[in-house]
Amino acid sequence: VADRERTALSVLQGTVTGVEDFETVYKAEFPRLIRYLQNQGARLDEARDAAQGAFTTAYTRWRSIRNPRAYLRKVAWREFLRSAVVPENPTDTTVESVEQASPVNWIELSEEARTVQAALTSLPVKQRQVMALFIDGFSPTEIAEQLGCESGAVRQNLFKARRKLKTLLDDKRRAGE
Amino acid sequence: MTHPDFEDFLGYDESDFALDRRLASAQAELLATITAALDLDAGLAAITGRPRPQPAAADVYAIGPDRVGEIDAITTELRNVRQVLGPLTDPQTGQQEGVSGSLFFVAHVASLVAHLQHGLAERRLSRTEAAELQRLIEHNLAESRVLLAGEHRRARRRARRNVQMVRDLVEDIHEQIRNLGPRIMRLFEDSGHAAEREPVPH
Repeated sequence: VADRERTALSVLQGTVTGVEDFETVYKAEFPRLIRYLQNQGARLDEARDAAQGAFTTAYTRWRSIRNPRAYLRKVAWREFLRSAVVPENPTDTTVESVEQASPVNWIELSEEARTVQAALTSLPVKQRQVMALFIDGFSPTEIAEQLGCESGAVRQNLFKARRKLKTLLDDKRRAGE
Repeated sequence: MTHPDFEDFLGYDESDFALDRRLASAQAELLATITAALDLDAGLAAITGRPRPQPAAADVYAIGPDRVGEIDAITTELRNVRQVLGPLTDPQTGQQEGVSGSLFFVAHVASLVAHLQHGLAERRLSRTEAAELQRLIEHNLAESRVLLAGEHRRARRRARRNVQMVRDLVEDIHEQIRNLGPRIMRLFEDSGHAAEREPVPH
């Protein structure tokens, strides 16, 4: 039991390393990497291509990557930017407007989950980036490092993002009552 | 989901915890839909060049049109299972105090249940594949129950109630999956139909 727990926890915490672990990390992280990109507005096909590109790059230098989770997110985001145009300031950030253009796999989600995702992807780009990394369990320092900014900026963006999410979701709930 | 450092500097209040709960639940659902739409073996093979595991060639896809009602009923039950697992299936939520390694298996169960649900709904599973998914789901539930028992023993008093709640939930789901097993296998019996195999989405 202890061995099983250690293996499971090492996968959860992203501490598995070595060439033989590429497959383990791929299977555990690939769907999460897609989710990370979808949280920033990518369509399923765009996110899948960018995530696959990131893993392909990672495979060639696997032994030298110290933090696969952070590395993969950085490379996947770059891959996504290369293939897509991300609006810096969406002109209409209501939950409804985003729901109308929601990714195809959202059909599978419950109404509550669709509402939350719509609110999340309606945030301005910087706030979305910080929120996506926050959701994936990164620390403030790691997020600052990942985005190449000060931790104060991370804090400010996170605070604004969360305040906006609460407002959007409260408004939506009130509208539904 | 929340890194502990954030709770300090954001000065968490009840509205923050409520927001985190809603985010965690939505994220778990999203992850399940993504996982269901992937063929990880094919993706991995494309990178490493190693051959992907091949499905049994002789499999017949034989769910007949007379079983449509039962497929709907079963896939609805599977969808409900995923929704119950929702708040637990994101290993990074950190919301289940006292629960740790067992979440890995629970998350895997959610992903397998999604495969089974979609595979049956789209009639792209053979009897062998459905049986294998069923076996894997039961195996992962059994593993998670072993770990949950250990986590329950080690949990501090306050967390113990929470771990017990998760144990009860997993036990109920295990029972539900066991009951679904024979019903799923019956879908493939005596139908006399061999449906066209649909391509697995990549």
